[in-house]
Amino acid sequence: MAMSARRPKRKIQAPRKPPSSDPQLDKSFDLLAQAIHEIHRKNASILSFEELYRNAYSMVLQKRADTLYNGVKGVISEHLEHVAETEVVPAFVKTAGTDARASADAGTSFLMTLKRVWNDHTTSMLMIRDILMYMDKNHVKPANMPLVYDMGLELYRDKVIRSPKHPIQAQLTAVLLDQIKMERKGEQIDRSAIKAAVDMLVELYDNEQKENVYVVDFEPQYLETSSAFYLVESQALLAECDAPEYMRKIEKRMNEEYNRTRHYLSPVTESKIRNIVETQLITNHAKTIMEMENSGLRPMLAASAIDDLSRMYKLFSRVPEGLNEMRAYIKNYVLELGGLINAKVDNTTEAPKKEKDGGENEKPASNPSGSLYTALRWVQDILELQEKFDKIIEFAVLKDKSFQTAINEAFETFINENSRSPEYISLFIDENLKKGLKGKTEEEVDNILDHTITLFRFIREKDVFERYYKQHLARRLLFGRSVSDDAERSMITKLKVECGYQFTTKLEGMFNDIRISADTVIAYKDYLEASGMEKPKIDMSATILTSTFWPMSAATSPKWIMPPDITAACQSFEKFYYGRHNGRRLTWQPNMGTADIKANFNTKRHELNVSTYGMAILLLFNDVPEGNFLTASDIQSQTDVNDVDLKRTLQSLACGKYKVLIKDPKGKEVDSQDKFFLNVNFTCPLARIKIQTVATKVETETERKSTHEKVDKLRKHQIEAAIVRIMKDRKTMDHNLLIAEVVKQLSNRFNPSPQMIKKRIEELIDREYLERNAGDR
Amino acid sequence: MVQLLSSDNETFTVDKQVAERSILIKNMLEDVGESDAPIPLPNVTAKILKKVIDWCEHHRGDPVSQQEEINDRKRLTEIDEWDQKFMEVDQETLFEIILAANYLDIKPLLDIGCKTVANMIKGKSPEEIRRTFNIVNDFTPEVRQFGIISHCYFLAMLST
Repeated sequence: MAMSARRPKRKIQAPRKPPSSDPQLDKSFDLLAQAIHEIHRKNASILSFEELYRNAYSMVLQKRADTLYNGVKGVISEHLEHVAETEVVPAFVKTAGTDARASADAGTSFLMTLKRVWNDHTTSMLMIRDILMYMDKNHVKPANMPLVYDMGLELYRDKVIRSPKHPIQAQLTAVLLDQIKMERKGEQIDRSAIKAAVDMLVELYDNEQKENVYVVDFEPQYLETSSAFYLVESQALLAECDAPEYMRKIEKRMNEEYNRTRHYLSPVTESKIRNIVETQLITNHAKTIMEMENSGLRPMLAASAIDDLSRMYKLFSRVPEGLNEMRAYIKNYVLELGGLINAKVDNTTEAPKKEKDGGENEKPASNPSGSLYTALRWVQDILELQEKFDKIIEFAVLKDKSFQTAINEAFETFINENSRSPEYISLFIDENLKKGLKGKTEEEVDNILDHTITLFRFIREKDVFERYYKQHLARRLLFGRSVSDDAERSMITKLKVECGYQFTTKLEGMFNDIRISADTVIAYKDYLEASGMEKPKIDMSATILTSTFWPMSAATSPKWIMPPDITAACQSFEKFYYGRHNGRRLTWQPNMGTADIKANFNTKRHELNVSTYGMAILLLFNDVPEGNFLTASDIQSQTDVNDVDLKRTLQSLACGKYKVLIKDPKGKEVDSQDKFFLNVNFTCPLARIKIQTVATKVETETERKSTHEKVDKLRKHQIEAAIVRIMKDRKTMDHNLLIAEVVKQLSNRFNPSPQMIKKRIEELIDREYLERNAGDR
Repeated sequence: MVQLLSSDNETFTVDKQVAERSILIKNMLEDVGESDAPIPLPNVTAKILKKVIDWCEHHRGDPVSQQEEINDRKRLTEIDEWDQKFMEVDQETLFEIILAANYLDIKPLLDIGCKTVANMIKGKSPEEIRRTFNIVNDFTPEVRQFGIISHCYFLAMLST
């Protein structure tokens, strides 16, 4: 045992190979080769599977697997070369270029031949694989060689498809491309034949490119020809179609391509071909399509062609920049339309037209403000524009948020380009809240106001709007011209939703004043009854307005000479009011009041409802003998009413629908030397007449200036308040950050400029509300 | 049912499911189609074929695709009880079974056979191994057996 332990260890060695020319084994291979021939001849049924398997099995066990593998490979390649030569090549398309139909048919038959050859080959390979299964498992796989079946595919690839002897590959590609071209031109083709060829190519694998042969050999050419085809196609279509037609056609094309790929090409091609078609048909021509005269994006928008727009949206959404361009185009178009609407305002301002409400006279030409009609038209136009684009957004672009934003931006831009937009919008609301207008139902009005609110949203200078709204509201309330309390209140609620509580407190205060005043007047009447005092000669009711809520400057009473009866009535009311409230002061605002007076004319007695000033003027004529006159300056000196109001009142009395006074010379302008007679022959079918003051509904330039001054003053306070609020909270803050914060806080009312804010900060430092940080310079 | 014909012309009738434990037979049935004619298996004697069928009957319900490549070393040599009993045969029969399993392409049976041999090698010196398997010192041309033994030896090395 010691001996054996010392013996060096023997390595286990592979057994010696048996002699290669073992006749038994050569016989095995011959048998197998013969069997493969039979399989190729489709005579597999005569073969014994077990026998073949056993032969292959023995060969592998005898370490002769390589011989077997290579032998089989040789047999198969020989067969394939034979097939290529005798079956595939004779099927080549020979009529190429002569007759399209004939060559297409020849192409189909070529494809069918190839399909048959392929099917035969794969079937054979499956059988061969099963016979050689033992070799696959125990020899091929461990050696990392292609399994028998894969080897068969490689042979097919190299001997048939990429045959170095015959141009089969070129022929195949040409036929496929030709067939597809035929189909693109609208011809019927045999899709199944193409499908078979494509499937075959997909199954073959190119080891070097690590891709299947379809992708390596066929796809690049296919994409190239497709690209060329659609380049030509798009030019042709653009030449003969208008934009909607073009889009319909390319939409159809894209569907066709999608279906083509799905039905008989490889799915990997789908995104590539789509990309090509989209580039050729959409990206390259997006601008051209949009800018097509008479049919491009602009006419589509003009006609609200929802179908076409929605098609464009869908098509353009396929390419990267498509929607951006479309959006920009639409935005510009909106801006342009908005510009036109704004231009209309400027035009009518320069050449004033007759106002819509009939008899009322136009303001003097020297007064450059646009008419009420212009203002209403402006808002109306914008609302229509908005409605139009709302529809487009909703139906054509699937409510795309980015489109909505772009259009909103456009609206905001052009609305704010018109410096009068806050006034116009407020006027528009005023018009719709006035009593009994144009037979609109409550819902209609409500609807309109809802839309108007969206316009209001676009206004940057909300405080200016507030100012106008207050003025207009004041007029409605004081002259009792509101449609209804409910409508007014709902409007205020809407504003509150938009701008918050602060924005509407004053407006609500105005409503309160009106309500309380009604109670006060009743109390005053009771007071007169109870006190048994001498009653004033006139029946008076007063509206008590809180000065900070209302737009008129309340500090001083406008100067005028009160008719004595009025003075008495006022004094009586003041006495009552001061008795009830301590420390309050009443200022009379004659320019806000109205009076009912009974006037005796030659034919009839009429009850006239005029402004307080109108009453004062008419009362003067009580003392003027019939046939005599007063000049404007007479009237001025006797009433001391300021110039503007006086002229306005005289116009309403002498030049309006009801001419209670006769002016000499005739004409709209009022000159200080003009003579005024009482129109004793005045007739009218109505007993009660309302003589409206010619109201400057749209502000004059000077009024506008003063409004803006007032607004500016208010803004100063608001900015200062904001600064102080912020600084109280933060104690110290960087200058720039402070400005940014102020802008942010005030942005829902107006956009303060940094200069303005800087100035306010300086002011506050001067007034020692703030100080610079000592560490700073 | 499928009929199998051994090299010494004995016919065995077995369930198709049982026969198809052999991948060879399975493929054959798929390619050639079923027929009443017995399938000849000239590489297997009746005695061994009977053993193989017994094994296939017992394992008929096993999941078919026990994926190869068992990396777990323990499993390389572990054999369940029934199979251990099944393999308690003389050496010659054992090798015949292994050969048949290889030929019929019954991977699990081949594995069990090899594991059994491997367990016989485990822990022995080359000399003992030679004695165990009647291997003459300068390798005889008994190539088939040696091929299998070297495979088993390899398994044994792995598991020790």
